[in-house]
Amino acid sequence: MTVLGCNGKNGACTRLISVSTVPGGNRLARDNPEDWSRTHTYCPGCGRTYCDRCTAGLGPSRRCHECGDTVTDPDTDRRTRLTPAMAAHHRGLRMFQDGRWEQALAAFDEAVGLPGAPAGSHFTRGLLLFRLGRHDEALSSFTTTARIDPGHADAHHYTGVIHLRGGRATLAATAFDRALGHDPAHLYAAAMRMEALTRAGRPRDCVRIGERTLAAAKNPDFTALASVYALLGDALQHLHRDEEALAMLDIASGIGEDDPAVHRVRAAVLRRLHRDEEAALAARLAAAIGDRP
Amino acid sequence: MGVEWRTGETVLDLYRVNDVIESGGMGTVYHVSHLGWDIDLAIKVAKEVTPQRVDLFAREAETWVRLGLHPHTVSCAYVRRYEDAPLVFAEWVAGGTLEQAITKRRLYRGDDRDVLRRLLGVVVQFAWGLRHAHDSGLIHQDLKPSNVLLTEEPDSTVKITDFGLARARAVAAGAAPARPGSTLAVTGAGLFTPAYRSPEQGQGAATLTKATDIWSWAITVFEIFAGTTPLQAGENAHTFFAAWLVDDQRDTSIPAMPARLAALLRRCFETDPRRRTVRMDEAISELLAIYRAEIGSPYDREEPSAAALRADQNNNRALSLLDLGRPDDARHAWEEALAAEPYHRHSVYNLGLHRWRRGEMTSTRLDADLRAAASARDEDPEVDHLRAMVLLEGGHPAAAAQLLTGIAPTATAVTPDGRVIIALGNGSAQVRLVASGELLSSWAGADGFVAVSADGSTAACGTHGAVVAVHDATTGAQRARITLPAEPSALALDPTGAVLVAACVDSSVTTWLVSTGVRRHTLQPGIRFPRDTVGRLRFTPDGSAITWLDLLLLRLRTWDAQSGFLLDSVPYGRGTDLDPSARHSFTGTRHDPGLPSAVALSYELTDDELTDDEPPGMGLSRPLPPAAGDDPDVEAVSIDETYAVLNHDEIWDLTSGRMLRRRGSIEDSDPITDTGAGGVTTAPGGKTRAFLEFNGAGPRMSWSYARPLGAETISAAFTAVRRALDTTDPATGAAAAAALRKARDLPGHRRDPALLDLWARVGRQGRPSTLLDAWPIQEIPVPGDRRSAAITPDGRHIVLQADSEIQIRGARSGDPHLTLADQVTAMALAATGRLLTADPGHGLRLWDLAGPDNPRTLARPSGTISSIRVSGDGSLAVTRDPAGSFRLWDLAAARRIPNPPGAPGQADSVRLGPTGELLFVTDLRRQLSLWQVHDGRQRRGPHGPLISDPLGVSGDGRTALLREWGDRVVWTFDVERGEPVHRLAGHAGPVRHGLFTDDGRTAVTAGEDGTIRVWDVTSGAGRHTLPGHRGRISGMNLAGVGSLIAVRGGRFLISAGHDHVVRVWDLDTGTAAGVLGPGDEATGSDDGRFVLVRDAAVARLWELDWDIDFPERPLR
Repeated sequence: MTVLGCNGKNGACTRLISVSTVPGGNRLARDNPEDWSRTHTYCPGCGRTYCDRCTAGLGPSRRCHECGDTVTDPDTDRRTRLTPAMAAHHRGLRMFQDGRWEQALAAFDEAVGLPGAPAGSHFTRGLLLFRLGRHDEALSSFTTTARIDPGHADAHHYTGVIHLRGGRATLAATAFDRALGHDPAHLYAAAMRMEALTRAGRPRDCVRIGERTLAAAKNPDFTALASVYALLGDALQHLHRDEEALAMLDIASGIGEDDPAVHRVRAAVLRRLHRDEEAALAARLAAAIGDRP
Repeated sequence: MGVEWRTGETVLDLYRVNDVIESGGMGTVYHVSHLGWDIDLAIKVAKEVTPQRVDLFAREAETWVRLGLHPHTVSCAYVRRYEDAPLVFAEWVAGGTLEQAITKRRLYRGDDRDVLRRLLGVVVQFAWGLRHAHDSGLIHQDLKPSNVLLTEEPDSTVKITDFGLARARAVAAGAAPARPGSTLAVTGAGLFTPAYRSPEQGQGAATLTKATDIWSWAITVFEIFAGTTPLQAGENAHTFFAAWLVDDQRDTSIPAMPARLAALLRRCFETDPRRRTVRMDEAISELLAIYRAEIGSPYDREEPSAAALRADQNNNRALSLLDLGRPDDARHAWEEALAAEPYHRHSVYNLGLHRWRRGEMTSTRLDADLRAAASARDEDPEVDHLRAMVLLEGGHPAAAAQLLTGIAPTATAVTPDGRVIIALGNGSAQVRLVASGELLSSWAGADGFVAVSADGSTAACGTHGAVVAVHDATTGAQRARITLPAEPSALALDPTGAVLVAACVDSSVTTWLVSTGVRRHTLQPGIRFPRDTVGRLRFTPDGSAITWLDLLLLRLRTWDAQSGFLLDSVPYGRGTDLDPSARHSFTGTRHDPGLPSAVALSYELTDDELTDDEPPGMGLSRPLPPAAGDDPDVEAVSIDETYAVLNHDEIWDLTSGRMLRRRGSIEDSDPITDTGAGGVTTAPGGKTRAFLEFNGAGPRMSWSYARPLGAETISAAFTAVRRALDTTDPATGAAAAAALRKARDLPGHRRDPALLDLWARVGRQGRPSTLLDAWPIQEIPVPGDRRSAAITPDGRHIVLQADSEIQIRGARSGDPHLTLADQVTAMALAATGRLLTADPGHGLRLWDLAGPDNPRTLARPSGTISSIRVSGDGSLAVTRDPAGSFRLWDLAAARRIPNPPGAPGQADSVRLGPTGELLFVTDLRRQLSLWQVHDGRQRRGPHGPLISDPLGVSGDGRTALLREWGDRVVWTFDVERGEPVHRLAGHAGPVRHGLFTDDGRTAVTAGEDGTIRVWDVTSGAGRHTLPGHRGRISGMNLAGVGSLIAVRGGRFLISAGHDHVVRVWDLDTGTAAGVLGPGDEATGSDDGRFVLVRDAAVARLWELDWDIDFPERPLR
């Protein structure tokens, strides 16, 4: 007899789900309908399971409360039944979303050990290892991910991040370039690459990457977008394209969180543009932001 | 002083200055028109009052307000402070002063007889006015011709003005305070007019009396007949007067002063004030006699009576007192106003606002009171305006706009002073004045967001896409159409409406010149990636800076409005980022300063760690509001100290020192936010904290002043009402009603308790024909799980049952008269105002609620009595025990009478007919039998399908309402003949209640199907079906309280339903006549004047105001 817990009511539902193969079903479940559900749905997105009542509570759209995916009825759609690897993958995702890192990692360890494990299992395992500070193992997972799915831009990006942390700048640059090659709108990879190029004194390359990424971006993440604008502004001011730099920096400061570096650069650009009063305000603001706890 | 107004100017948002008059004594007098009331007033501004002494001046000047109303005194509406100046708002009198009438000789036009008639008339009226002041305990101290005003000719009514101001100016100028026991303070040199001063004033006497006014009055009369100012120093008047009387050179164009008048004045010019014994009463009698003797006929003006302050005047007086820092006196004045007129709307609003701000009541309760003030008058726009103001102050602008506009707005904007509100809805914009609800302008094609300039002159609203239209808010004319870089997500206008700032979905923030429609600054550039920008834009109050609260980034940015430079960019709090190490410090906050917007306040849910030695306020830089109490419990304070949770559950706005709402009030349908939010988090260390999200405070709304009426109007009304009360004979029916209708239509007397009492007595001669009004007058808690409430048929007492305790209270006072905590098992009220109770300890007892000898014991304890029923006339009662045995009781003789010999020994139910003649017994087999009580004979009863307990019996005892098996069909049953007559079919569910109107012609049935059906008893035809109640109509309870009440006269019915609404029905027309608010059950007094509604744990007594007609056929 397989017994599942219901994840409905934001985890507050206490009913159990009987997934019995016995003809007529689990007798205990049959006799206690208040506490047991004999049918259920699950979410392919996050793997959550819902009892019959909570499924009804999802409404006609049957959207998972947690991730918004449409829940599936395993009793009527046998073809979508999870493989053991996918089951472990979903369990891992659910733990991940709940912040239970160690249990999530165990689930993904199980998933990647089973046949048919998706690239996503390796990638998410990599993220968990990265989060837990086990960078070498994480790098291995990202590498495996990229081997299974060479177009996985995020895997290349995180590979680059780990190389960068390990002081392997060239390998990092290669990884970021690969990420951008597969996804020209990958703002995080672009930001990392641009930062490295700025540090390397290559503002022109930095501008080229920034402009190309912004041109390709669609529905961007605004945190990364602000970073790209800020780095682009910084690169442009190195090239003395001050008006353009100021426009980029103003956007960066407008859409992103307050960053003292952005305002410091703004102050410098404004001074060069002889807008001294504004420059003084920008410098003061940079100092104030920098002083914040 | 900061008051310097010019002619034509609109001041205090409400008054147009018509004229500026420099007055020698007082200072400056502004002749103004009240723009809302369309009346003229005089605003007097004292010139010599120093800012430090404004309070003293205002306090003294306020005595004028208390003087009340009299046709021969200028009435003072209220005293207000403005920019450290006390402003005295008084009646405007257009005809000029007596001094001008003397010097310009207007007083002396015509022949000698006309002139003498006029002069004596002025003297008499002058005396009437002064007598009123003296009777009110007020001494003028500065009587003179320039303080006597005349209305315009030909009426030329004399009015004395500036009461109390001489003393006020004296006190404010630093004169010594009044000696204990004296009636007047030293006036101080120069604060009265030397030419009219009394000898004691001239000598600087410490105490002045009415005799001083007598002297000055006499000098003024002297001047009227002299035609010129006779003196330089008033204290020499006696000498000058004696000389003038014998002077050959005096003005012969003025008639000579009658000798008797001269004799009267000589007595007034007694130099020793203790021997100056002339009283104004005496002087007036003499003056009227002089008039009659000299003119040959009695004086043709009727002697006016002083009018007591009515609700309007007391309300205005209360506001004056509040303005003067005397809240307790103000509250007393409001209570007087509400006693004069229950639910007087201005007083309900003002007192409620005052109490709400002090944390003594919630805005929900105030709103309920205002709705009660408007009840039964289906729509009262004035009350809606007041309700809107309460909602606005409570931070619910959308709800306020809905009340004012009648549409559900999609966006609203309010000026910071709460004067103007703009609402968008149904594709159009409406601009309204909040206080009056007046529609200033409207235009179509408005959508999305809206903004208004602080001065209320300009409005900006979205149209479609990126286009914003800017309109003149007053006229609605379009001033500009501005195409923004992208669709706007927030708009704001600078205080004067010259500059628009827009935040758009492309992340841009830009400013635009309204006059040209040209972009002024790009404060923040846009990008090609749109996002759901959420935030609030505003100009600072002085217009110097623009703030943009980006709620996605939780960041507040500030730009200089003039240059467009970014000045600051700061994180905007994070509601639940709690510092677990903070012990006493106040935890995080998030709110939008100064705007009615969502606020998050984090705070310690428990303050176990706080010690008793922690000072109140716990280090707050801002003082706690005095209204919150001497030592309020500080639960939490927002980081910027704008809001605080005090005294466990009160949310206070610390900036204005007023309570916003109670946390608990979220359950009273007062949403903490329009979306509602709140939660609890547990921080490390086990300390539990909560955050609370609520709407911030709206603008502080203005008080509601009642339109002051002229003293002539009030006095005439007062006189007419007194006359009506004295002369109306209720027995005259229609004639009495006509007289009382006129009296009740007089201003301020609609809800005069004395008139209402007399009206009710007259009403007994006729029958209610229209429900004019209804208002709650009393609210009493009814605790316990098992509870009921009933009013005695005479309307004098209410009986509350809470579990097994009975409370008897005075109906109108609510005062407890009697409490029975005796495990009462049954009770019943008799029409005669008597109460029967049964309890195991005392047996069956009879209480005379109005009488002295209570109680009388009818039966000693012997078993449990489970039900008591009383005959309609209150003569007999029948009690029943749980086993079904029943006993009959003669209540007049207080003894048991035998059961009819053949009647069943046990009954499922028993009831008596209306006169006690008939006994209806439903036996245990649920068969009904009828018995004559007096001889024990059995009447022929129903048979066949008719069952059990009758629903109702007609007043003459001839017809009963009986149900068929199945309960859905009712029969009228002829009791005399013992036969069913008409089958009343139509209910879709079981019928639970039935009654006859008192004329016996109409029957009413009500059932679980939610309808009330009205039947013609003679024909059995259905007359009306009254829909409205949903579900079952609530049932009768143990005390015999029903939820269907037939109002005396047969035309109206009151019902309480399971839909929790108490309704009044017109049975003639089959329509709803009104609603008496929420309630579970209702009982009424016999005359239909009072209805007691039990609404959950509260019993609410309503007074119903019926118009009456007098049918030719007398009512039984």
